[in-house]
Amino acid sequence: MSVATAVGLASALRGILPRERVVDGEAARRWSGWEGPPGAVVFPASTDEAASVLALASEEGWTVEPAGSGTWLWHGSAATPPDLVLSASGMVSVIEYDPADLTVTAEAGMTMPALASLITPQYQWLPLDPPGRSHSLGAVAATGVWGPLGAAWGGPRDLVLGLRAVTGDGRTFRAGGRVVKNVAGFDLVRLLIGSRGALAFITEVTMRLSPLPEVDNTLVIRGGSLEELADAAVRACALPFTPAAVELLERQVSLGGRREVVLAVRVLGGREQLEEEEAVLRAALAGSGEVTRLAPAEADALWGEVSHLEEGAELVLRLSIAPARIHELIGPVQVLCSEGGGQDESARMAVHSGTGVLRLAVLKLHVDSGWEERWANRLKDLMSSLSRRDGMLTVTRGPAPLLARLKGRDISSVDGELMSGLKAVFDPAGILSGSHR
Amino acid sequence: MGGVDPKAALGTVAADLQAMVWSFVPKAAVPDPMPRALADELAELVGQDCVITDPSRLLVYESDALTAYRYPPRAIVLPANTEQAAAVLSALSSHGVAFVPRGAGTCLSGGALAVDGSVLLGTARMDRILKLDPVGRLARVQAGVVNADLTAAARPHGLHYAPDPSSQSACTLGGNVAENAGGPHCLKYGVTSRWVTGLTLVLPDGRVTELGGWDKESPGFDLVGVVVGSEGCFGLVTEIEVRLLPTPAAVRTLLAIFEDVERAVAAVTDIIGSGLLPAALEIIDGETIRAVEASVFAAGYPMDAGAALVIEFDGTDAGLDSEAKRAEDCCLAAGAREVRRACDDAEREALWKGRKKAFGAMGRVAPDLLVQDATVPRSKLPAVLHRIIEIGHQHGLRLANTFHAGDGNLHPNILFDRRDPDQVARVEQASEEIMRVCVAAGGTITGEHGVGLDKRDYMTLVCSRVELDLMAAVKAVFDPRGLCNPGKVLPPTVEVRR
Repeated sequence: MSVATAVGLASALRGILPRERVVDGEAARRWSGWEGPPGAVVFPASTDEAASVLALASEEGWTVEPAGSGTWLWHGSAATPPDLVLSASGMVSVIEYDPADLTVTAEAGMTMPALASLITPQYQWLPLDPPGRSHSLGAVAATGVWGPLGAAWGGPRDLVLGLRAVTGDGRTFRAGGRVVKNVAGFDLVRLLIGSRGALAFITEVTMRLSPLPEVDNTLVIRGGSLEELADAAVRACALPFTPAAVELLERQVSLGGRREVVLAVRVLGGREQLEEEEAVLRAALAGSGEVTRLAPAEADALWGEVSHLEEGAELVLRLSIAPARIHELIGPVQVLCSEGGGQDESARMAVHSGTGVLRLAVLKLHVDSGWEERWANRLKDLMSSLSRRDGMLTVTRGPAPLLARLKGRDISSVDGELMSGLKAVFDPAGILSGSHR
Repeated sequence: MGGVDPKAALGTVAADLQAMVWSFVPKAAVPDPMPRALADELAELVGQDCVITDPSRLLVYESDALTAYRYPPRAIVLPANTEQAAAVLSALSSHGVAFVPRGAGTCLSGGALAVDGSVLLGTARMDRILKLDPVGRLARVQAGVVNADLTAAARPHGLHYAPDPSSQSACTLGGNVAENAGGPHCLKYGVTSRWVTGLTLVLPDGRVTELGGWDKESPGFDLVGVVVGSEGCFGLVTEIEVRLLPTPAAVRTLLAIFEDVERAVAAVTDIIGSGLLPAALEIIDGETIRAVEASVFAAGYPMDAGAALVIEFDGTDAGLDSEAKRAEDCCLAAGAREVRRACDDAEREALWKGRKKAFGAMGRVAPDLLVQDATVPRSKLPAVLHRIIEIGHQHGLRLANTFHAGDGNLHPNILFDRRDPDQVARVEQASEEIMRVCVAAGGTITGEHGVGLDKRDYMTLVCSRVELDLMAAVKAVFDPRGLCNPGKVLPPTVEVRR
């Protein structure tokens, strides 16, 4: 966008919103996962304000990237910035919270830590631990991303009961509701969960909460090889009860270098129940390494480490497969990591065994001549090796020149047609999320 | 768990409901017969025996479990697999003939009715479990597989399929997907959408697409998520992949007897508030208890009780006794007259019997029954129940309440006699008032039975015009010509077009 257009855009937005809710120029640079800043960043204070911004953007044909706190803007980063970023971070109020209902409705900009400080005193929690820090509820819903706890609790698609949102052309609507069972009409909630802002801008979220468990224990197994611990993880997922999380964590290592691996199993519940479950787990894991129970602070640190795995990484890969076959992901990833690469390349890996997801964060890429080609080829090999196993690879973050060399997922023509039909229903002008790419 | 399967015993409800034939809506006109050429073309695709056009044989299909409505279909076609279903839909589409997917016909909202002379697409022949992977805890089934049969097949591997609608011995997985079915144990385990990982969908024009797969975080929109609960309006689901869960190692079941429903509800609030998460929390009121006890299903509940609360905990054996004790304390503190605890499977079955046979027993009390399905936030249960009872009194109607109290999902049953037009009018009025009260309390008009034909006019109580238009447009993406299950879910005033 030319400077003149950008100035026109910001001033047009200041015509419909208070000045302080529109930021442009250098101040907008922080809100960029792209090579330049967006034309403007807008912070609506209400659903109605968001609707008027989108109605105008739709009319003008401005591309819009929905955001919360901005922590996920790198998702599928592209070279060209959008005309504007629409952030819910100014919408942080609680709309309704009656602890007896075990549900909460809040504006989409409320962050996960802010929600925790609201509900923890009522001995309740939201059993959701997506990677990263301080995500907003709207972003959690929009990305549909889950973490290790997904093994027992499911992800946002299972925990979000209702949404309020604005379509690309500024129509305000609600989907779902505040009750745990609701089949009145087609399920627009699940359609929006994981749509990454391509259908609508989410302004309110209703989540299902759970009572805080009496005890929260984490057992770790160390000393075994990666393969031994991966087998142990599969055994932990085959017991008559479902652990809250079964996580194989490989700490920061140089690619091709020594590896330090730990298997962590988290169990939640009543004291007596956990005594029995721990005994069963210890028996199932015997022989795979030394089993110890972490002190609460150590457990927090470990799960924090898993959450923050991707922090600062230049390339993040997300691999998935049916959970019982999770060990089949390990080999190809080891091949990827051990194949050459510069001495300064290092990575961290976390395997959510219960959900069949492996996340690999390459902290630093060795940039020399032909590095894009080298990595693109490695990743293509990995993709084809995975597709032979009914697995999948998503590059969730990476430098634009590398992403440009990778083809998107093969979406069958019928699915592709359905998805573009749905996109046209919610965003007829085609301005939302990713439309600037 | 061993011994008696608690869920299988729930099954006779569908049959019970079918027995309670009630009908105050005039019968729809008999549709024009199927054109000979189309009937022959379909017979070519699925076999002569699997295209039924004889009006006398079609009578069985003119209703679902909500027998208020009767629409004889023009024909029923029974494909055996995805390929046949695709060929049939392609043929119907080229003739511009509308169709309605139908499983076992246990739908309680008129969702499986062939309005306007549609052709029914029955899944009865698609009854094979295609894959059962005990290690991956996954199953792939054809849409006509009966819910309880899947659990029966999984049981030898120590696994089960979690959603357990009351009609589970009759209803099919395809129907469960269409309705996003629940059941008593969904309090702990969640409804159908939680457990479905993949679908084979035949679009109304006959094209086939495989949706989903294990990874629900995959790129693109959650098409599985939007097809589950679409009430058969987006196409015909022919295959379903589901996750299975380990059978709980142990179970504890309690039955608490109260003087009135309010106290039973207070106990539920206390149990949830104390941080316990039972597998099921079910209430039946005094009217229902007396109907059950006077019937062949007598379960030994006290005839003078005002309400009974069934509480179940499951999971790892250790700790269940103390959870049961805490729940018992909550009940006694809320004023329970007595709390019974099952010591073995036979006793457990007895405790459940009153709840499971509630619908069936109603047939003794009144000739006709209307089952409501509204859901409210749990904290609003006492106030809403109070209003529902008042509404019954105001209209001079007998109400019997059975409900999934833990989920806030109410099933007020209105008892009446369809031969009395005045009663019928009062039933319809009371029914609408009940829905309005539930919506005003922050709830919704249906928790698990679906909108179908029955509640489509009430969708305006919960959805704005924009929301209804969006839903109509989403349907049109899957079904641009409006050939798939026409006239369901959305009010007739909303135009379905692309």
